[in-house]
Order: sequence, then structure tokens, then C-alpha cells
Amino acid sequence: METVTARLGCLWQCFVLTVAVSAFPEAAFAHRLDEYLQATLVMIEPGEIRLDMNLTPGVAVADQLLSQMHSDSPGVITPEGAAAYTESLRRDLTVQLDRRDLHLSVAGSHFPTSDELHSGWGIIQIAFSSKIGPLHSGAHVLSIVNRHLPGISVYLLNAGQSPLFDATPPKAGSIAVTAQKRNENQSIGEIDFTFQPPPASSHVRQSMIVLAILLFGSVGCSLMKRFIPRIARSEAIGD
Amino acid sequence: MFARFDRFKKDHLRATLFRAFPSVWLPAFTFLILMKRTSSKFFIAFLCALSLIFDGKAEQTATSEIVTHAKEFLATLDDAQRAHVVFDFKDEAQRKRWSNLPVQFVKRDGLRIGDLTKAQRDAAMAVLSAALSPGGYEKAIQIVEADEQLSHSSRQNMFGRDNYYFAFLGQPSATEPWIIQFGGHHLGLNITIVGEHGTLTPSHTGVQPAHYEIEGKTIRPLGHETDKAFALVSSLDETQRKQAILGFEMHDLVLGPGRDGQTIQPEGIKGSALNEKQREMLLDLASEWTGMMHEAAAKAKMEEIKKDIAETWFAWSGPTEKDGAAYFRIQGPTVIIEYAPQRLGGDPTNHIHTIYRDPTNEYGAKWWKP
Repeated sequence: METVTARLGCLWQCFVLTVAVSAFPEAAFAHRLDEYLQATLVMIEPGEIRLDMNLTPGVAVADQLLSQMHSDSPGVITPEGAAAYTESLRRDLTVQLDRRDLHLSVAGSHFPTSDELHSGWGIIQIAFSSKIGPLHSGAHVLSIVNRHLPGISVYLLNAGQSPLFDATPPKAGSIAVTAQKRNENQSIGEIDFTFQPPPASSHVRQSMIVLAILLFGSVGCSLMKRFIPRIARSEAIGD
Repeated sequence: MFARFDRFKKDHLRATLFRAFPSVWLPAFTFLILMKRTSSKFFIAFLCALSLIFDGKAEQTATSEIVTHAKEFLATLDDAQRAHVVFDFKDEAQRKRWSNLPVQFVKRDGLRIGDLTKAQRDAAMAVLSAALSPGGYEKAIQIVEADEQLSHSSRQNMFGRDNYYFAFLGQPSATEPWIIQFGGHHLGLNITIVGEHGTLTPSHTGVQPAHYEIEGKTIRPLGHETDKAFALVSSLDETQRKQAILGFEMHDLVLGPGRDGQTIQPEGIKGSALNEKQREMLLDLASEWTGMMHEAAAKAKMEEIKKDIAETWFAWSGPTEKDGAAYFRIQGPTVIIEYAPQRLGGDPTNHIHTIYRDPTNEYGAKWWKP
């Protein structure tokens, strides 16, 4: 029974592809066809993990995607449809830091028109972010599993680096990626990295010294207030 | 465009011959003087005069030559066209308006080549030929010509040589920063000029079909890239291959158009793990992108990459047998090059995308950004 279903599935895919190529004769000349390219750049920063995803559906699979976007009017993807799709993608992603699940929130998105998606050229861009709080110094492992539409998808998964246009030195410490592992189709990956906290700056050191002096001074003052009257009293009694 | 290229090749040959005056012609003249023939002396005097003229020309810097051609191009335009071709240097939207996709899907701005007169088109191409090396210019033209072939085979008017756009960001200047943009489907050249500095990063080259025939001659616009990459991977021993070959599929460019300012962690085999010959092969492969710029800029860039060769990585994904559809990446401190055959409903080796970036100097930012 499973073999028959698999064969029917294969036949259906061939049929869809043939129809797509016939409907879009230019498709065979450069368009993505029966696959959905999901390219993810993983940005690891002190305090935040970000996934920047570029999603490019092929001509033959665009309808499958658009059906998830509840596109009521032709040529238009409504904000609600886009949000529903983004949420379904978010649910299909599992991101763990040191084996603990991270909550992803949507940091930004851009959806092309449904016509562009039908053409095989349209690119959906979605960015997810997770605030991870302070990292401890040393080695960490970030793992990512993408289960979104596995039957039609091909994946790219890479550890990225922060934009280099901004050349300001890291104030919140530095991240160094030490290894990347993926399965063959890159739907599952692990990124090993280390976190090095920032060295205490001279300002911080100065502040700490001033704070220590103030604390020492206030303790000294309170001790003196307590003991000086006693000494004065005992001297008075002695007199 | 091809006629223009032939003329350019002749000009370049002539200039090269005369630039070689001190080292080649001078000993020849001395030899002739020794022959003590009056006719020879006249001949020498004539050649010396010629060489002085050409020597004066050779002293013109690459930037001043590009600026001269750019101003000549602007002079061929009417006011409306001129207003449409020059953008503000800080126009971020226009700076990022380049792509591997056809112009129907990612709209370009500037002047469309198909809307220019022949004189204007020639003047535009002269700017490009001054900014690029002869090989770089030839590659750009061959990519455009491949798209013309695609327009015939697909009968789609979104392809073809008319659908390429020309723009400047900033006014052509020998001192102030400005950018020449030329691109369309499978070509996005961003040539930033800042004084005597010049860079091509970020730029996209691609091709479909990857080989075609013109007048019985087979043209492979990205043929050198493909051949040199397979030669390099073939030169690796088993231990090196284990490091260089990624254990997963690569379906496209990671840092293609739209990924400005981003970079990734390097993978593959490090330059320090290659032998001297292999390092030379890696540099030679990279020169297919760096060498597209005019000689002075290409030389400076290659020196920079050479300095960091031990820290430059080479990664490979796919078959290592020649003519296979394989992805590769070169990544060093100041360079990222990717080459990705496209599995888009046909032979992937016949449809290639590449990207060339410098993560430290996109659009020449290190020369103009405060």
C-alpha cells in the first residue's frame, strides 16, 4: 500500500512539474522549479541569537506555500496571511542553546507579491531573534533543526558574523565559532562556539575603586561615631 | 558591443607595445645606431618621438582615464538622461539595487542600454572598458552575450543585451568617491573608485548558458573559473581533500546579492595546509575575480590576498571529476568568492552564479567611511 502511495506521490509531483513547465515555458530557462530553498544565516551575539532566513519557492511548489498564507485576493499576500505563514515556520524550527530550548520571536519580515512567488523568483525574508541573557565564559553549543516542508525543501545553514560595516569593537564580549556540523541536506546543524567576556575597562576599574573607597570610608565613619563618644566618656570618667 | 571590444583590444595592444619602450625598443635602437646607417637614425628619431607621445599617455592614471571616459559619456546624454544616470553617492537603495535575477523581477535603475543611441552605448562601454581589465571587460561582455542567447532560446524579452543598466553613484571624480554600476541578469558590477583606489566588491557574475557558439567559436564566459577550480581540487591529496570537501550539499550562494555587510565562518582547507604550488593555483583562481578590475587595482588586491594566503580557506562541495556540478568557496580576511551551479530545471553546469566580496571593504567603504 505504501509503495502504491509513494508511486502516486511521485506521479503527482511529475504531473505538477510538467504542468508548471508548460504553464511557464521560461521556467526551464532559469527558474527554481520543484524545490523550496531555505537559506539561513545564524548570527550569534552576546545576549542574542538571530536567524536571517531567505526563502525561495520554486514555480511548482509556490501554490503549496501560498495555501499556507491564506491569500484571498489574487496577487496579494495579506499581513494576516504573512503572519500565519511566519508562525508556521517558527513552529517548525527548534533552536537550542546548550540543550535548552530557545524561544524565537519575529524580528522582521518581507514578503514579495504572490505573482512573484508564482514566478519562481520571489524571495521571502524572515528574521527570528532570541534573547539569551548573559552567557558564561567558555564553550557553548547551538543546535538548529528545520522541519519546515521537508518534502520539497533544500537548505543552507551557515554561522554568520555581524555586519562588518560597523567596525566598533565588541563591548559585550566576543564570540568565536569553533566548529560547524550539518547533516547532508543542512536541515540539521550544530554550531560550537566560545564566549569571552569583555575585559573590565579602565572606567569600570576606576568606578570599582571609588566604590570600595566610599564603602570603606562609610564603614570607618560609622565605627568612629560609635567608638569616639565611648573614648571621650571613659576619658571624662577617668578625669 | 563585440565590435567595441575588438577595437579596445587593439588599443590595449598598441599601448602595451609602447609602454615596453625602455626595455624592448631601446636596446633595439642602440643596436641600429651601431650600424651607423643614416636611414636607421631617421627611423630611431621617428620611433623616439612616437614613444614620447605614448609615454605621456601612459602616465595618465587609471582613475583619470576612467573619469575622462565617464565625463565623455555624460556629455553624450541630454539633461533628462543625465539626471537619470547619476545618483547621490549615499543613495543606499540604488547601491543595493543589483541582483542575479532578471530586470523584470528585480527592477534596476539608471539608463537602460537598449534605450541609448549607438554613440551613447559606445561611450558607456568605454567607461566600463577603462575601469576593467581587458579580460574583465571581455568576461562582462560574454555574460551579456550569453543572456542574449538565452533571450533567443527562451523567447523571453526580459533577457538580452538591451536589458542591462548603467548608473553612477556620485559624480565621476579623480578625488571624491563614486561608483559605476553596470548590470542586469547574471551581472551586477559595482566598481567603486576613490582617488587612485578601486574595488569591484561586491559584484555578481553568472552565466546561462555557460557555453555557446558565435561564428563557430565556443565561448565560455566563466570557463577559466571552472577549469582552474577543478585543477586545484584535483591537486589535493587524500588528507587535504578530507579537509576541503564539505560533507553536505550546497544548492546556492550563501552570500549572494542581498547579503551586503554579512559574512560567514570560513570552512574547508586553510591556505597554510596547501603546498606552494597549490597556493599559487588558489591565487590564480581568485584572480579570475580580482583581475576583472583594471591592472593597478587588481594588482593591489592580489597583493592583499597573497599576504593573507595562509589564512585563506578553500571549500568544495560536489563531485571532483571535471565537468561535474560542484560548488566552491574561497574565503580569506579580505575576500569571499563563491561559485554555485544552479539546479533550476536543467543541467546545473550550464547555469552558474558567483559572488565576489571583500567583507572589510564593501563598496570601498574603508577608503571613504569616516
